[in-house]
Amino acid sequence: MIAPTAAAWRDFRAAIGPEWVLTSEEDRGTYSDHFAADESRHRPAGALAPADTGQVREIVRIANRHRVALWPISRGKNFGYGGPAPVVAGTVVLDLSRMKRITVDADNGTVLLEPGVGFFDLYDHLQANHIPLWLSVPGNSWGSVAGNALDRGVGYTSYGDHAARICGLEVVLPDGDLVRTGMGAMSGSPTWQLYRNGFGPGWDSMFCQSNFGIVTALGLWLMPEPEAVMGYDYEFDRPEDLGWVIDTLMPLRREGIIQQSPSIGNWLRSAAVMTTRQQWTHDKGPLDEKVITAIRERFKIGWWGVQIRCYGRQEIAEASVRVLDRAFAGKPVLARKPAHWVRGDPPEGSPFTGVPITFPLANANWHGGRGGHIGYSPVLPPRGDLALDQFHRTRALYEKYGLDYHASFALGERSVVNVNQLLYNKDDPDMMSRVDAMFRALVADATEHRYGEYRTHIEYMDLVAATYDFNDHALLRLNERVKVALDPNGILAPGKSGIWSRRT
Amino acid sequence: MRLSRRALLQLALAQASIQAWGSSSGATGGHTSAALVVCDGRWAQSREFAALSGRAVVDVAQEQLHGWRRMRAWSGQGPVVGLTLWSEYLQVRGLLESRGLRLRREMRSGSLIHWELA
Repeated sequence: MIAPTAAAWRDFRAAIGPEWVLTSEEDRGTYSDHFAADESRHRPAGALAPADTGQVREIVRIANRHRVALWPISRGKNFGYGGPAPVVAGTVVLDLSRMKRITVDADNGTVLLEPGVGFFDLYDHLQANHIPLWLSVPGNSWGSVAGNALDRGVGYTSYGDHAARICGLEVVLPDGDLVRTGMGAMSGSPTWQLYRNGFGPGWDSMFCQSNFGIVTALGLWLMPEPEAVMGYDYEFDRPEDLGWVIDTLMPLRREGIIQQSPSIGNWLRSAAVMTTRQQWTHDKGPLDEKVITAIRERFKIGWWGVQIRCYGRQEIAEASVRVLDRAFAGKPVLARKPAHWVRGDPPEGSPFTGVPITFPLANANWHGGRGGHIGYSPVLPPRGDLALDQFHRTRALYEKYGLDYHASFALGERSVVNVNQLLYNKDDPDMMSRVDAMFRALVADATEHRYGEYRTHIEYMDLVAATYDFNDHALLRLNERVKVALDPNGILAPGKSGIWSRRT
Repeated sequence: MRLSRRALLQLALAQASIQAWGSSSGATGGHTSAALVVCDGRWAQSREFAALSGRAVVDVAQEQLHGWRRMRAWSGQGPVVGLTLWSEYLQVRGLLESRGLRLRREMRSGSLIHWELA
C-alpha cells in the first residue's frame, strides 16, 4: 500500500466535494489517538467524510483504483482502543459521522441507524418524539450507536450486549458492491429489522470487529420502556468477597433473573472519575492500604461494588428483587442501597435507565495533566474461584509494574469478562514503558490460562490475534482467506483485529 | 473564593496567554476574541479564567450533569477557548472538531489544560 497520490486526492475531492477531503496537519491531528504518548505512531494521511452510502461506494472504487488504504470510523470515539486512528500510519480515515439518519419502528421496538448517529442523538430523537423506547448506553455516550455495537461494546441495561441486538446490516464491500444482510436481502422487505437470521448463511457477525466491509446502516433492537427498574447497589468489604459474589450472581444470570450484565468493580472505579491521584497521595508507587481506606471512607464504598437492576413489569421486578434478597441472605454484604423506579416517577437519570453519560471518561484525569487508559479484558469461565485467582495474579502484575489496580468483572450469561484498566500519564515516559510491558504481561498471563481477550487497542491487535492459536491459528488463516477474497487490494482497514491482506 | 499564590500565577499566565492567542490573527483567521469560553466550575482557577473573559461561558461540570446540552446546542461562530481538565477538553475538542474547528493551541496550566480551537 502506498501513500495517497495527488491524483487520488483529486479523485476523492471530485467524488465528495473538496471541503470533505481533509488533509491538513490539523486534520491529521484531529483523527489521531489522543491517549497515545506518540500520536504520530498511528497518524493517518488525512480523512474523507462522505455524506451517504453512494459516496462511500465511490470512495471505495477510487481507493481500489489508486491502492489507497481506508480506515472506516463511525464517530471515532473509541477511546482506550485507539479512537479514530488507524493501525497503520498513513492510512486514510473514512469518517462516517455525517451519516446520521434515524428510522425508528416504535411499534416493534427497532431502529435503523446510520453510523454517524451518536447515543446523544438517538436519545434526543426518542425524547423529542415521545417514543417509549430506551437505549442501552456505554460509559462513553459520545460514540456511535452502530459503531459500538459493531465493536461488541456493552451497556448497562438488559439490552447491554449490543452486538446481540443487531438485526440487519447494509454493507459496502471492499469492491464497492452493496449488500443487505438478513431479510434485507429481499428488496423492500418489511422484516429487515425484525428477523435476524434471514435465509441461508448469516453474515452479520462477520462485520463485527472486522475489515470485511463498511457498515452504512445497522438495525438494532431497543428496549421497550419497562414498567419498573429495581435492584440494589451492593458493597463488599474484602478482596476475597469477589469469589462468592460471582458464585451468588451467576445462577441468577443464567436463569434470566438478572438480565443486565452486572459489573463488579473495585474502589478505584469511583475514585478515578471523581478525583485525581494527587488529591490522595504524592507517592509514585502503587496506592497503599492507608490511601485505599481513605478513598473507601470518602465515597462510602467497599473493596468491590456492584449495581444490580431488574427490568420489566412491576410485579416481575419486585419478585426478582425478592430472589436477590434470598440469594444474599446471610452473606457478608458490607452495604446495600435499594434502587427503585416505576413508570410515572421523575426520570432516574442514570445509564441504568438508558440516559447517555460521559463521566466515566474522567478517569483519564487520574494522574493529572494529559492522561489516558488502555484496557485488557480477557474472558473467563463464570466461576468465583477462577475469578479470584485471576484477581490475585493480575493485581500482582499491577504491583510489579507500579500501577494502580483498576479492574472489574462483568458477568455475561455464560462468562465473566475481567476488564483491567491501565490508567496512565502519557507525558511520563517511564510510566508509559511500564504500561506497555504490563499489557504484554497481562496477555501472556491470560494466554497461559487459555483466556482470550474480547476487544483490543489498535497497537496490540496482532498480539491478541496471535493468542487465538488453535490448529496453527486456523481462525486467523480463515479470516485472511476471506480478506483476500473480498479485498484483494487490501484497501480496507489493514491490520484491524490482526487481519491483513497478503497484498498490504 | 480563595486562590493560592500558585493558582493566581497560573491564572495570570493563562490570561496573558488567552490575550496573546486572541491577537495571533494569522493562525486563527483574524479574530481578536473568543466566541465561547469553556470552564470547569469545580476549579477556582478555571472559574476565574471564565469570569475575567467577559465572553459566553459553558461550564463542563454542569454539562456533565445535563447531557452536554448547552455545548451540543452551541451554534456560534469563531474561536473557542477553555481551561479544563484533560478529559473534558478532549470531549469538547471532539465535538468542536466535528463542526470543523481545529486545534490551535494546547498547553498545561497546573492541573488543567489551556486550549483553543478555531
